[in-house]
Amino acid sequence: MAKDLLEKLGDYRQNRVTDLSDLQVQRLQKSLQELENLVIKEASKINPARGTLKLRTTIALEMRPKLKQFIEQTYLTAVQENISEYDKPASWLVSTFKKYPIPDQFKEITELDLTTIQQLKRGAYLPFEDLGSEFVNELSQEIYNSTLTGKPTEQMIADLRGKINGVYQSTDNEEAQELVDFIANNPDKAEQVKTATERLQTIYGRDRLGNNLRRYATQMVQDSLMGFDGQFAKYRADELGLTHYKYTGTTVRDSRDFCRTHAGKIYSEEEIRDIWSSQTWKGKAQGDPFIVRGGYNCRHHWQPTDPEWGKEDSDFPTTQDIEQQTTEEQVIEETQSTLPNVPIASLLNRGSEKIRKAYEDQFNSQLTDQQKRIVNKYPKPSVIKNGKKGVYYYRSQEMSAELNAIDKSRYAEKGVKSFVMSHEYGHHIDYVSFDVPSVAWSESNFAFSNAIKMDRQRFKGTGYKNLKTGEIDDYYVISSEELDKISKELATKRDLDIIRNGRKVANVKITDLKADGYGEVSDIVDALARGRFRKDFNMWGHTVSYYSRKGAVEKEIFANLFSIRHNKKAYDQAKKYIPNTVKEFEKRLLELEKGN
Amino acid sequence: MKLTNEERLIKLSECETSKDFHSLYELVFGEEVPETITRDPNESLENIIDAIYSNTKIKGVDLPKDINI
Repeated sequence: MAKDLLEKLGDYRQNRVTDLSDLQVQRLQKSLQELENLVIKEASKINPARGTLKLRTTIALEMRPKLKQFIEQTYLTAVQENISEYDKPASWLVSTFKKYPIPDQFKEITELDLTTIQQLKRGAYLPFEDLGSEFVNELSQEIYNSTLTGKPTEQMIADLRGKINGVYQSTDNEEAQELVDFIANNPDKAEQVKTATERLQTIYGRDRLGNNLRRYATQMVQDSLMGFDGQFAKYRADELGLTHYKYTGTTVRDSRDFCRTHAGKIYSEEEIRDIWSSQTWKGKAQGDPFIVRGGYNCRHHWQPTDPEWGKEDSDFPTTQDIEQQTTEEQVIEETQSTLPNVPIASLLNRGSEKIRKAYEDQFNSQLTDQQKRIVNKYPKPSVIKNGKKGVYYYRSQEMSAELNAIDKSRYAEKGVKSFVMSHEYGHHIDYVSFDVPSVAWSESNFAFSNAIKMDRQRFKGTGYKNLKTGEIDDYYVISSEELDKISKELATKRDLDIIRNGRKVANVKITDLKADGYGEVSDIVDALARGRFRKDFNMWGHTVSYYSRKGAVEKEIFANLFSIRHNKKAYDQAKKYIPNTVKEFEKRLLELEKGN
Repeated sequence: MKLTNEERLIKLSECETSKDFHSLYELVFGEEVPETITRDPNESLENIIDAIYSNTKIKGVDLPKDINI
């Protein structure tokens, strides 16, 4: 059905714009923290209770140009950076048009589009600039009033902090600071942030000042980006002569009734404007329905469409044609990340700035967007070492993985990429995403373990009865014939004489992997074979004794799937061997991505 | 079963597959090839050959309980 396709396209826009919005909010909040630090550093030099009134007020007046400069170099710089990224939602919208049965010239960004984008960007900047000016006035006034009344410096500083960041202001109390940091670093966790804010207010008596710069600016960042997205979509629809729109995007627990009612429905422009003019709802914002949609902080979109599309008797391509194309392109999209790097450079225990950057870049290159969202959601490892051994300790949450790791024999000229960083991080996620301390999700999830068991039995082999329960095929062993066949799919072998003291002592068959990530695929097969793939076929994997450890099979398979998720070829190969397990793995990733 | 130096080297030269080398290691030292956290199986195989050739066990690593590799 074409309706499903439109929903997919709408979800695509929603996910990307939401991610960008979260990133921009973080950038803005960081800039406001910097602003607070600069302002406080300068204001600390003033003692409103000392000196003559004339001297104090003169000093206060001299602060104004400095405050303006601070706002420009922090807040307004972040705003400019945010707005410069508005090209992205425009290109995401146009990319959804590639699936539409429309002339090709409408499927790319045009010169006219670029002009329109520039105009919209200029329009988007002005409210932020006005807000900045307003707060220069507010802060200047606060300092001036303090000098007039002789307010103690500490009180003046607390009030200045409140005006900039409200309840989120910096604090000397350690526990309060933890709450402040949590609030600052988790803008996407609405419920937890609410709880943390309440605790901060009740326990520490910090007021949530209603008129702080952070509150206004944060809301403006989200609404400005969504507003731009809505304006550009409407302009593009008008260009194409499309007069209908589907209200797309997922609904969550706190979605407005309006959004719940209309999500997934198609309306004409006239109907949309009628709804807006005749209905009211909680959180409705003033403005054009195509820009404000459900109201403040609404993350739904109007996806332009034509109700005629998808009717099989029309001249347009069938829905099936379009869906086929979408699915193929989605696979590619899923494996290529467009999100910014997850910051991990600072977690390295040592290394120059250059090494840290290279490490972070390489780690991020081993993640899909979905994985980045997941990694961002959970606590990071306590420390990361750029070590030759790939290991993860779940108690201390330390991980070690080598930069530029290659799977190759020392007799080969070149090897294939090993995704050991994301492998070890996969172990970390497996543990930290599960509620029970020191237990990984993969080793305790019945569906995942059962899927592995089912996948193992897809190969020829022998089932052994469980001696305790009598269950037939409880311990299944994949045949050597099957393992040999798989080893040939993943690697080539070549003879090599081993010479010691000038004498040939043995001849071995050296293994060379065929593609990047196949070392991890080999690990997966080795886990299914509980170490026999490595031992009997000289393939990548672990010792038999390692797999006798509780949960080792499940944990290794999880970590390996996590490490190759971004590499289509390796991932497809793994899917061929363990389709049921991959299904459970993908379900888990979705849970981690969408869950709280 | 204790092999003489000559027997050990003859058996080593007769090994063909990875499985053969592992089995010979177990025969010579009476235990499984220990964990060394070596990722490359080729390197591991060469270590096994050296161990059998020199009649010196591979020094394994005791894996802590909380390690994942």
